[in-house]
Amino acid sequence: MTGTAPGRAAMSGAGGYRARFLLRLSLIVALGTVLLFATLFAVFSSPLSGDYEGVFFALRHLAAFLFPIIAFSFLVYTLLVCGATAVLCVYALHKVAGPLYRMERVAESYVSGNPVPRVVFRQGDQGAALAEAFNDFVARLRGDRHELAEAMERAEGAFPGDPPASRAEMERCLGEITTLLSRYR
Amino acid sequence: MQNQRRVILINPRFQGRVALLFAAVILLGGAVLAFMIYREAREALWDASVRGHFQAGLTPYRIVEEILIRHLAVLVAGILLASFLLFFLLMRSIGAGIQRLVDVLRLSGEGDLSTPTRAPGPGEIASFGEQLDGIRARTLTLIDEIRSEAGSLRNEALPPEAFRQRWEELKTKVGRLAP
Repeated sequence: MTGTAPGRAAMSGAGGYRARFLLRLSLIVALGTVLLFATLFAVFSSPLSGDYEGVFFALRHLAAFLFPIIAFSFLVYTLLVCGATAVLCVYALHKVAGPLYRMERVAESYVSGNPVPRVVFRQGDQGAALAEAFNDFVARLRGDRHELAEAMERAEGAFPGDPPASRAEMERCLGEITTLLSRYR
Repeated sequence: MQNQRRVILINPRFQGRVALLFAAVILLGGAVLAFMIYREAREALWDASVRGHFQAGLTPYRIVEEILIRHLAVLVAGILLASFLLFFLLMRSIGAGIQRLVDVLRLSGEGDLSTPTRAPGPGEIASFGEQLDGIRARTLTLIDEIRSEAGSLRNEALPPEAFRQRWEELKTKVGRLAP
C-alpha cells in the first residue's frame, strides 16, 4: 500500500485554515486573559487606607477572602474562554464534518443504485483530495462500463445476416470482457 | 463565490468532542494557575501584613502585581502551547485518515477492491472507510458475477435463444457497474 506523509497531500491547502484557527484561538485566550487581569486589577487596586491596624486587618481580611475572589474570577474566565473556543471549534470543524457528511450521502446513493453526481466540495472545505479521488474512481468504473457496453454493441451488430459469425464475434467479445475486468480483485 | 453552508453543527459528536478537548485544556490550565495564584498571593498578603512598614497609598495590587503578571503570562503561554499541540495532533490524525481514504480510492481505481480501508483518525473517518469498503465489495461482487457469466456463456454450448437471453442479462449487469 502506497502512502504519503500523514495527511500532507490530503489536507493540502490547509495552511491558511490552520493559521486562521490558531490565530483566532490565540485571540480568544489573550482577550480572556486581559479581561481576567482587568478584573483582578480592579479588585486589588483599591487603596489600603487608615492607620497601621486598619491596613493590617484589611490585608488579613483580603487574604482570608482571596479564595472566593480568585475562584470566581477564574470560573468566569474559564466559562468565557471555553465557550468562545467551543464555538470556534464547532465552526472550524464544520469544514471537515461537512465534506464527510456529503461523502456519506454520496456513498449511500451509490449503494442504493441511484445516479451519483460529481462530488464538489464548498470553498474552504477540507479534504478536497477525497472528492477528487472518489470522482476518479467512479469515472474509471464508468469508463469500463462504457467500454464493455460498446464492445457488446459492436459484437451484436458485426454480422447481421450471419448468425454463426455473429455468435463467434459475441463469444470473442465475452473473452474481451473477462480480460478487461481481470485487473479487479 | 460558492454558497456557504448554513448548518454549522453537522456532526455534534465529532465537533462536540473536539470542543470538549480544548475546553478541558483551558479548564485544567485555569484551575492549576488559579490555585497557584491563590497560594502565592495569600502568602504575599500575609507576609505584607506581618512586615508592617506600610507605605502611603499602598494597594493590594502592588503586593501581588509580580505574582499576577507572572502567572497570567504562564497561563496564556501554557494554554496556547497545549492547544496548539492538541490542534496539531488533531489535524495530523484527520489528515492521516483522509489520506488513507484517498489512497484506497486510488487503488480501487487501479483494481484493488478488496484491501480493507481501516482508516486511522477520528471514528467518523473510520466509519466512512467502512462505508467505502461496502461500495467496493458491492462493485467487486458485481464484477465477479459479470466475469463468471461471461466465462460460462463463452464455454457453454447454449442454443441460440438461451444464449441471446443470457447475453441480454449480462448487458443489464454491465449497465449496473457504476450508477
